[in-house]
Amino acid sequence: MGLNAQDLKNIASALSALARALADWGNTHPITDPTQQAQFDDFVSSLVQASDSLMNAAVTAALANVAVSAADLQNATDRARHTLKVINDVTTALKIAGAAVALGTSLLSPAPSTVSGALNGLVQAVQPASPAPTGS
Amino acid sequence: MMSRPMSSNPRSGPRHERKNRKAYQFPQASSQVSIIVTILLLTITSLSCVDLTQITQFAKSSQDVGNTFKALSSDTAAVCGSAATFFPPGQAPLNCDRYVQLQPALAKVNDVLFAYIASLGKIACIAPPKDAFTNVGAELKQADASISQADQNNAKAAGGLADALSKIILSGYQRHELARMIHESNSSVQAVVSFLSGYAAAQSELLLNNTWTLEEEYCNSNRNQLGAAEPLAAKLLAQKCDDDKARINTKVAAVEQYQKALATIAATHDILDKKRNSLTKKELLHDIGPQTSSLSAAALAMQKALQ
Repeated sequence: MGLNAQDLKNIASALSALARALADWGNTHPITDPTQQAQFDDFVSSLVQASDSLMNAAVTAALANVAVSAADLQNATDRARHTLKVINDVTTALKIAGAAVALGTSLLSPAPSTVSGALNGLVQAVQPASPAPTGS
Repeated sequence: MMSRPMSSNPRSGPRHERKNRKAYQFPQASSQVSIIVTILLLTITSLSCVDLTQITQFAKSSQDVGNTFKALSSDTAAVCGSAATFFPPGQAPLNCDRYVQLQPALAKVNDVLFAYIASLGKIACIAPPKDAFTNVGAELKQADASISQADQNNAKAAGGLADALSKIILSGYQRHELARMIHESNSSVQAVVSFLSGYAAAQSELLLNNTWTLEEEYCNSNRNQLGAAEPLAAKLLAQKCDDDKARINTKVAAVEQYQKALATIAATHDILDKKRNSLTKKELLHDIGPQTSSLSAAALAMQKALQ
């Protein structure tokens, strides 16, 4: 049975903790023999090397596992964009309806300034609903 | 007992009195309608008064945390490179290419989470249109100067009612979509947060700790060899080691803040899921307010640590 992401991470953490403990020991127990010191350094760095490789393997395995959840969140975000568009469309429609009512009532009035003011209101309300001109 | 006053109007026969009473009753009925519509309007407005500002604020604070991850993640390869200098001669250094290869995938998972949180905030902060129909009364008066005050009041109340109804419909749709989105995504949010905290951030922390282990070993080894023979060199080396230790500790603290912020995001999303059908201003302030403050503080601490 193979190791899963959590197992790999646990071993990586254990090796890192062991390397740390050895470095702490070396800090309080100075080694005077250069050969012994080199062997000790090699041992610590080998533990770090192994810890790093296993953690990379753990992250790679976990990344594959989380792909489905990440895709779900991406879909949720896409749907949210659609929801935002619907709400914005409804908001624009309400603004147009309000402006249309204003225009309708102003048409009862003989004053041209009132009509032109209401017409401008309608044009302004319709503008956000119109598609933006595409590039050249 | 008071007697009913006699009418002084010469045309005030029983027929005319009935007619006058009828003419007098119409505005009374209109004002009753107006009052009823106003009460209805107030009721609807109070029902639709759902303040989702806290969700928007939560999303905003989360974005700062998400943005800081990019700095944290891009720093990893550099940390790996610095670790290579502390490997003993003859030992193969760490494979830093793996960090470079992993970085885009980790950044993408982080981006997916924070884009989702941002979309929650955007849906929560949509405000329905203001005054689409409220000015109907004034516009009618402008169009027809002879319109009665009662009719104008009715039109105003009806306009306000139309506005309130459109607000409640939009607000209901907004809340329904938010609740659905939160519920459907909660398990994915928990899984992605768990990955980012338990693997992506944990890997950065492990690398920082391993780098310090290697550097400390390098410092000890050289200090032992330099000994008392070269005290100035030994002192300079010790100073550099202390500075590096402080720098690494600061970065480890930034990673821990990121993990803490992720835990807050996961917990907050879980609260939102549990209370998705009762997102009231009071509850949101009580449940999400402290989390939002905690996220802002974590983002600030991360930014300071990575400066």
